[in-house]
Amino acid sequence: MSEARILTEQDCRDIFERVKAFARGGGDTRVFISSWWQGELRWARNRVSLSSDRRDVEISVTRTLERGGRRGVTTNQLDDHSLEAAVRAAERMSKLDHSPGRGFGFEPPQQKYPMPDSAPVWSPATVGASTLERGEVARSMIAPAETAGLYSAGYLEVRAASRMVLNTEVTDPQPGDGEYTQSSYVRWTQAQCSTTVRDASGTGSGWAGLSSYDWDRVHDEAGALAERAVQKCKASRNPVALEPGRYTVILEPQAVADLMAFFVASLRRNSAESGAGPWKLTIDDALTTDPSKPFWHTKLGLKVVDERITISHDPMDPWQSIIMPRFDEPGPVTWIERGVLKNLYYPLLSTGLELGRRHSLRGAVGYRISSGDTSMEEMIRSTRRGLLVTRFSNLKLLDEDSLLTTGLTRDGLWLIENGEITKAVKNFRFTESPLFVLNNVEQIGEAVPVFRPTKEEDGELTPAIVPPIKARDFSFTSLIDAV
Amino acid sequence: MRMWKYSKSLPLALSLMVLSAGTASAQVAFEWPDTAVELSSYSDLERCRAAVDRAKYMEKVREFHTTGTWYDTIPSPPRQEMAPVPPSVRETARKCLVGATPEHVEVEDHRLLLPLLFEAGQGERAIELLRQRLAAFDLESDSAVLAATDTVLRVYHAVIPRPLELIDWLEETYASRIESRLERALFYRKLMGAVGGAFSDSPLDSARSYAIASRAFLVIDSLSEHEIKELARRSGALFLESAESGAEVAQRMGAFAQFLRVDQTALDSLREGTTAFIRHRKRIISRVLGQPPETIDWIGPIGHRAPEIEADVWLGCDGPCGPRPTPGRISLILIGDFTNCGRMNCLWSLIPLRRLQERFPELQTTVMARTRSSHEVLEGEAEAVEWVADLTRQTLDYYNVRAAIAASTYSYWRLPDPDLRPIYRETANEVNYSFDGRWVLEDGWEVYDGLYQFTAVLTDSDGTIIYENKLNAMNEANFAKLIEVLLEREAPNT
Repeated sequence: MSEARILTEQDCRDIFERVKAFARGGGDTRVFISSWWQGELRWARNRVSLSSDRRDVEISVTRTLERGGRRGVTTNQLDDHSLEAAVRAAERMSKLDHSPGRGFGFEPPQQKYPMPDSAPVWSPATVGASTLERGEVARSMIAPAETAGLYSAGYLEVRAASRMVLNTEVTDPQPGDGEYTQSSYVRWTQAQCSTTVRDASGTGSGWAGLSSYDWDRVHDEAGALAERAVQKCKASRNPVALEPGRYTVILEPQAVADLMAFFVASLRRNSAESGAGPWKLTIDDALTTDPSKPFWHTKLGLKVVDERITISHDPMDPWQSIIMPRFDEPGPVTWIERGVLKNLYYPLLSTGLELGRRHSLRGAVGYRISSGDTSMEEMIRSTRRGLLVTRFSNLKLLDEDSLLTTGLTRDGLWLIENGEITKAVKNFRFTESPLFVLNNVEQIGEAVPVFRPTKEEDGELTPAIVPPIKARDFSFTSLIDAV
Repeated sequence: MRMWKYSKSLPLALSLMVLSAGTASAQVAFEWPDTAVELSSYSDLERCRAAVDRAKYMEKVREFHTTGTWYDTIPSPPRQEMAPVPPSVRETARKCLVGATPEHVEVEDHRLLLPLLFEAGQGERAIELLRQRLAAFDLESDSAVLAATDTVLRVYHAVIPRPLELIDWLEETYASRIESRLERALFYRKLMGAVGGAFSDSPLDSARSYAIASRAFLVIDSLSEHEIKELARRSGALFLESAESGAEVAQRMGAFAQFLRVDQTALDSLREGTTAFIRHRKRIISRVLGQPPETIDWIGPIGHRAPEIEADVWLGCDGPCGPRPTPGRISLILIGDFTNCGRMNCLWSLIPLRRLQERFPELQTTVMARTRSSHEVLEGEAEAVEWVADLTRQTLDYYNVRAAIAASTYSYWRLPDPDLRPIYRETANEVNYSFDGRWVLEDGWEVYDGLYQFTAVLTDSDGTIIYENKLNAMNEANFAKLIEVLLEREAPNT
């Protein structure tokens, strides 16, 4: 049952054989096959409002006739008639174009790359999660809120997806082939759960969430997530208004992950070398032969954040499971090591080969920020006056160079005075840069997995393991009415 | 949706009827051509435009099946702008406009209506509409007249064949209304831009071009020194700034056009000899710049001896590879990256090159290639330069172009770790062909605008550079004329 939710490797090979049989006129045939299934359950005001199972497939047929262009057609129908129609359409378009390119040994021979290993990304528990099981978890998460006279809303989701690329001519994967590369069958699962608990008066709100490739992990944590959301809701009722300004903040791991979204996305070498983003340094006139193409030095090798911060990814860490890119650096990657910028993402073709490297270097799709040894209790105890932040929402990047970001605090914000949480506080809009925050670090706690959903049904895993951070002078710029 | 058979205040009821019709009945399954479509029932201009464009597309498909040529990917045939409207397109436009009442169409929809009228063979109606429309505006000021000119020219450029009668009408109606001589000169410049310059090899209409140019020069001749500077600034021709009179401006513009197009006087001088040709080119440049010929010491690499091409790998030589350019041979040297033609469109240079080779089999052709241009070749690989040569050969074979390939290894040093970016050193060819830093070969290799047009250098049999330009359909005629004369000179009976 669960296997049938997505296409198996044999299914993909069978589809490819059928497509090949429909091809006419020689040339090359490539088929990209992906499939996904998603089961979800949504509830609000303590009642289930949606339960569904959805699935789809995508068959992208590309034909390259001899001396023709490379042209593709996509369908989600698997019957013979539809597949043949797709092949014919691709051949018609290929004929209209022309290219001396791929398909006829045009590229130079290049090194073969084994598929990089990664920790498990497939969980039978996820793909096997039944509607009944999802319902029971939802009921167990609603119950604590209902018992406390509060309203629970939430969302549970389990997914599985697969993809495979097969083609006739190019049987040895080569980096020069780009997307035109045969690739192994890959399948992965994702599970996520989040809940918001509100009180009847609408003044208190608590939130908790978790995501993983493994439903069992989410399932096991469901009770604790529900309890945390209830506690936060109760504790955040009747907030008081504080003046906006600079405060010492204790950012819970989820808030750190939210704030880091633009930071990790900016870790790109090409941007820095073309003078965009925070990692460019200075223009070197001596190396600029063409004024229209200034030569930018980067901050690689320079200290950019607090020396207690290391941002890295280990593909074999089961909490950081990702779908490894095809030609990626197979081992662990460290982008920031003890505060020093060590690496930036680059693709193989446009940059990797120029650097004399044989692999691309992945971006921070999944990442871990190094732990500290301070507990949350100790952070609070050592704070004379500050704010405890549950999470942020509605983040927007204001300035690409400084990563100045604005957003809102949500679902629990508390004032700390003389080492104790004294009262709930109304939410703020903040205007701050994660770069400044990571340079104003006072204490760091233990890194834990946080909620990192992907929106697309066949989206890939983006796990993050992030510690709570206490930082000074965090800028809150206005009060907001949202709870 | 823009309704043209009905004014905008009209039938909400009709819209509701359309909206309330069943979804299936509202869909039209198009057959090619639109045999199943009742064009006269179309009630808005967008659908008419789409129908006419479909008819045009079908003409392209028909032409493709007949000739095997698809003009999206290769240079358009000469004088395409004057090609008559195909009957199927004209008929589609005509049917779609049956029962139309263009006078009721909103002014902002004229951009759709007027080209359709021309395509339907109803140009007089279009001009009458334009006349009525522009009559409604106060065109007292020069800037208003020039704005009206732009409006008309926008319609002109939207139609093939170009409705040249619009140019006549514009000149008759507006030229005399423009009070400022400078603005009138700019007005004529717009008209010349529309019909093709008087000195161009292929103006859309030679008689019109010369007539407009002569009237334009009369105006320019009357400009003051200040107006000349303003004309140079506004037309982007800064070399005209130093001209002292309108007559001199006209003369310099003529000289510039003459320089660009390699005219009969240039060919005659080349027949006389390379030295005479170089002297002639310098004289023209001196007229363009308004300086004495003896002060002109650089007109590009023209007149310099082409340095012998160096290479780590030679491929495709017909006989011994070096030295190139070979003494005694008329030689064409192409500089460019041919390894990426699978993704980029190299036709713009390679089709003209093939035509030149077919016409002049004696022409020696050499392609100057280098490793850096193939970014997918692994740095440091010993075979890299062989790969580049081989990829270039495959591309040339594909286009049936024969040429010797001279491939050089591009050396580099690296920035210190962790940056490691390679900083490239110029190849020997780049150094030799820079002519002491006055010319940059780099341009030939770094053309990433989607249309690869490679730099070509033509030498005479003594190895002196006669001409250099991008090799494309526009400049092909210049290359051909010069090669023809050079071959004439080499012929035994001359």
